[in-house]
Amino acid sequence: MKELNAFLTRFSLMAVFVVLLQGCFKDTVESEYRYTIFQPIYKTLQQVRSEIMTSPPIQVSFPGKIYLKNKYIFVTETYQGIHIIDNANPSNPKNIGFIKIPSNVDMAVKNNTLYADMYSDLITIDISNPESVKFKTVVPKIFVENGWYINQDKVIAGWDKKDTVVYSKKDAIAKGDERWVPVGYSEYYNTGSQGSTGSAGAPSASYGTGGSLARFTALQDRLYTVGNKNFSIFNITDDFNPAFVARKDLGSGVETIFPFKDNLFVGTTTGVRIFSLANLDNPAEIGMFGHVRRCDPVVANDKNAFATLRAGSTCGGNTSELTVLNIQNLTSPTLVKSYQLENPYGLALDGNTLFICDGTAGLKIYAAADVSNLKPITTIKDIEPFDVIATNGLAIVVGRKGIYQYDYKDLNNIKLLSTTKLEK
Amino acid sequence: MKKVIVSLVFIMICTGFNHTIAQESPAYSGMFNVGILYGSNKSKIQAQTIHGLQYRGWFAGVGGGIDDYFQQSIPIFLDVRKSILNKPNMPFVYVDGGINLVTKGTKDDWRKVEMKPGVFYEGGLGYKIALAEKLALNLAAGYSAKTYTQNTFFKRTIPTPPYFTEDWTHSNKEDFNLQRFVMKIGLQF
Repeated sequence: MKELNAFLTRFSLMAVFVVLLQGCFKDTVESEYRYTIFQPIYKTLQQVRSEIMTSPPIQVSFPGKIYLKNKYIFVTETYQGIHIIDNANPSNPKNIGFIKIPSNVDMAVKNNTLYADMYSDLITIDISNPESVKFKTVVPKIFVENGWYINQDKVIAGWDKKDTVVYSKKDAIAKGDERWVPVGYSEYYNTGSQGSTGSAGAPSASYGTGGSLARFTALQDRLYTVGNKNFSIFNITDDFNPAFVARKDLGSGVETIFPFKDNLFVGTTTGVRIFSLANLDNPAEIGMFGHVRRCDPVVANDKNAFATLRAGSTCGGNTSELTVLNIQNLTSPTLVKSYQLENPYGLALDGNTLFICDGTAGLKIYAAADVSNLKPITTIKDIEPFDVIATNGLAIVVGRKGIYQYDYKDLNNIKLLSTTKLEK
Repeated sequence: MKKVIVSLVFIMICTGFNHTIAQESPAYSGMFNVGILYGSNKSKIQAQTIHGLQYRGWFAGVGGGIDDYFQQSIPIFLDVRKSILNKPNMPFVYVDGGINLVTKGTKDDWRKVEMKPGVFYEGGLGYKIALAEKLALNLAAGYSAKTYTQNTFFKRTIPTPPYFTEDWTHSNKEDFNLQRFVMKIGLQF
């Protein structure tokens, strides 16, 4: 017992001693941070505008919005410009050219005029001959949110990428009981990329068809564009001379715009907002269906609006779903039913056929005659779709891996017509 | 501190030469330990179970457990310990060495975290108190260290629908080296 007491005494002394030396134990972290440094390439506005023409086609690699006008598909290459695809034969689409429009995200078309954002400008391009488009006019500094202007003469026309590695060694410090988050995470996101406005619109003979993720839409001689907090109205009676009419503040979280007949459906992160076009120059908000924060492109017909609500990361919320609304009374849309989805983005409606881009879960096609009981027709997997235009039996689907075209005239026998693989 | 562990191994070897027998033939022995880990970050709990063979004052076995310090992990290790005297109650030295397994990681639209295992090593002094013929209480204190690597990848997000991101353009590799003082108590059977 003496031995034990002696040991315990020594052990206790040693323990106290070591605990006192606790500060000598340093937790360290050796870091190797790999960054891509983006250095701006400056050009004068004149230079940039002089380069707006049909250049030789380039590989589609980072597509954004799609717009269908007659036999042409326009696909934005995010922040770089617009691809022109001759789709006279959907089984064999031809990439015929590229229009360099730095910082471009969105577009819409009326007749032979393409409207696109470039920095904070709205520009018009004559596309009467898509193989030789011409820059026409500019409404300068109208999209104030974009903020790409350096000054009147100089703009950022592109970026040089340079990889770099930074090494460091420092103390590792835990944050309470939370899992340790590496330095650089928040710093990175605080320096994230720039905001922008968006693209195309709705079915119409003279205006073409845009995807549901559009933030530009042209109809009834007006161009409506949504920014993150507002929407702007342009009078485009004179195609090449858009006249700014007004800007309406909508609060934050504005995402997409979809026109149907005499109404505009604006998808926001907190709900679907409905605007009447009774006064084209001053759309009045007549109804809203609110939901918890999520991303939600929307399409509609006479009776119903369909909105996909995507949860997670940028969008907030926990569950992803399709929300079907009854909009027969536009001032008071009501929920008909929600359907669970996995990772939804854009959607399209052609008659009673509903197409939903459910991201990693694929393109889901439903018979939507009875909105209380949507019937799955098929799911096309492995294409990671994010937006779709469906019209006259042709579905043009943009995915993470390519642009796909399907013939759905026979819903029991949907055929893949072509695949344009994306370069990554 | 690594020198301390080397010294412990040296002590083991030296005491091995003048040790009189405890067991004439190898016999199974197991133990459960719980401990407190003190370091420059918040103190946390360690729990271990070790199973092996005991022979002539030596013990060698394989252990595993949960180490909650800084980043929860599962060390899997070899444990070697040596009694210093040949008495029912006696001091011992021990060393552990093995792999430090960490959780799998996470992935979302913007950020992907990959965790890679590191090493676990520990060494110290203890005192074994016999409670019954084949049951003893172990008290021990020592130095404990674990490492792991966290690779974090980021994407640049386009802040407009569809909010897509580019490929994983950024990556951070971080090698963590966590050093602690451990005090533990356990039962050996």
